[in-house]
Amino acid sequence: MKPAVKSKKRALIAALIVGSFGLWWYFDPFPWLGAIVGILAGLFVYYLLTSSRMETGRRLFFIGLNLMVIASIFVVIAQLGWGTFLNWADIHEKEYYLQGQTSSGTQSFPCTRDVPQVWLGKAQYLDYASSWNIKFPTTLGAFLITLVPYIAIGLLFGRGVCGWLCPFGGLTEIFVTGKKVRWKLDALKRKVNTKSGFSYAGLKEWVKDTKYGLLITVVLLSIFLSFPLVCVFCPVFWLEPLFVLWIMLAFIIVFAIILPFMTKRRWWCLICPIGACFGLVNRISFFRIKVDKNKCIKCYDCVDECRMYTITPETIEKDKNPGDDCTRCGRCMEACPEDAIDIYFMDTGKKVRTAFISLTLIAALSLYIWFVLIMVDIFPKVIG
Amino acid sequence: MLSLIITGMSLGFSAGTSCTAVCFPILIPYLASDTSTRILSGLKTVLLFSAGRLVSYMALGVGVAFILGSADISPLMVPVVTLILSLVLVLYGLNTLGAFNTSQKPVARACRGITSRRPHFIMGMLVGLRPCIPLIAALMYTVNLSGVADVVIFMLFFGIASSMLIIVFGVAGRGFLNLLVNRIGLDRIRRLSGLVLVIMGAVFMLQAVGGIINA
Repeated sequence: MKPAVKSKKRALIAALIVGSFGLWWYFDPFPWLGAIVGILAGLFVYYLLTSSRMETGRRLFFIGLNLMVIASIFVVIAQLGWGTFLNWADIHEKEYYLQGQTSSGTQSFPCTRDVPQVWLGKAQYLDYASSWNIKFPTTLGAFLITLVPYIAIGLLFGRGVCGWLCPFGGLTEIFVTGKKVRWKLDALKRKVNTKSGFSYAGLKEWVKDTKYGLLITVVLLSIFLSFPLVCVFCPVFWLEPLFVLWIMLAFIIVFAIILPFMTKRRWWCLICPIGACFGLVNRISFFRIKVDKNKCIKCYDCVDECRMYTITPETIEKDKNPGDDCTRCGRCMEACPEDAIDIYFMDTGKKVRTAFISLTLIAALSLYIWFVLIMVDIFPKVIG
Repeated sequence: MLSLIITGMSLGFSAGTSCTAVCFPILIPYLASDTSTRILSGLKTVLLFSAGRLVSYMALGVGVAFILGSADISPLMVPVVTLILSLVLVLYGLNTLGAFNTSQKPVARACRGITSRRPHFIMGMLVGLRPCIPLIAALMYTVNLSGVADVVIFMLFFGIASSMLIIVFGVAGRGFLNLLVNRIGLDRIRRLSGLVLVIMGAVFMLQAVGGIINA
């Protein structure tokens, strides 16, 4: 794969923009942190744009995000103690749907539901207390407003979120690393006869639909149980009702560890209902992977490498975009010997890999500030 | 008599939203699994479902008023009913997915036989036997009624009023599903509804087993 930009000047400009954002976003509460994050982010963007191994860089970054999130949870538990942590977990759930009440602010810890409040300027980091002061969305209207950043991210990146930003995806990414496919699971795949006689395709429709089935179930059960079931995907929630912990652990072991390790495919993402939400907007998202049919030599290296079974021979021969499951991970781009695959702006012929990488990094810097602050501020205090 | 009807209907109407929230998540995938896309077919399903609920409500009302004497229903009843409901949902979902179609094994044949006729009425009955808060309030009211006829009339009108929104939303839901059918196809809608019914049934089963253990 050729680097994203031929001119290093363009990469430098992108690195400066992302670095400046990192400096500004992390300047408050710690200017030194802003400087470090700004420099690191700028260097990393420059590397991603000028290296021919963008996907390797993405994977390391993605796995790093996941490890940081997991470590943050343990740091918070160590800081508070198990009992206090569980008490907090209990309280923050119940505060959710209190209609018409105002909250004077609550000390809070990482919660994906509340992360957008950092974006909206509703959360304030109290460095003397090493925690966030936050007003929980106490009304449905306030809750809907906190969804705006997620909707914006979905429209921008589609399932690119699953390939670059998901706090959980890094775990699966660890186990798909490597080449040796131990289980082919052909029973779950469609067989197609293409012009070149190649008979291998993506997953069968019912397998692909499983995530949508789960999404509908989550929505319907949320109505039925009057409970925000999205919280079931939060590790903090798993710690309290033990049966949920065991069920989720079983799911994680099967879909995020065993199947990815044996098949080298991201099975967790293939059944994830949150991924299904982003999949629904994949076709209208701004950044899309496309195969240039004039350059493509139909070697199908991209089909073999796709971790989501989403690029198929049909995609290439019929000149279609990859399906709803494309996470823009860039693995197909790295595998293509002819540089026929790239990220484009919607259905135009305009290549926008630089903008995609820059914006993704900006989104990651924004979303993960919560966890970064835990690691740089609370963690040293916990270990004394 | 008139005051009974008015009280029952008032309570039923006020419980309508809550009843819809409880029944809708089961009713919608169930409607979506239907091979017919006709609105009339959807209306028939919702009416039979609601009739099942009505029968359950009346039976519960009579049982509470004249057998138990209070609204303290056995803590085992809800989990047991939920377990049966979950089995029906799982079997019906599997049948919608075509899991029993090809196999000639006795168990598969039995499951196919059980779920080949759509159990609208039984589903409604099972849902009705899982008392929610408005229903418990209605049952507490029946304890003070003197005759079986009074209880039956009260619960009948409570059930009819609480079913109104379900019927309206059910028919609207069928219309909305038809729009989806035109867009993504009946097969895919049925496949998705089968998946949802199986997963939902599995969740109810877990809930029921937990409830039985706790009881």
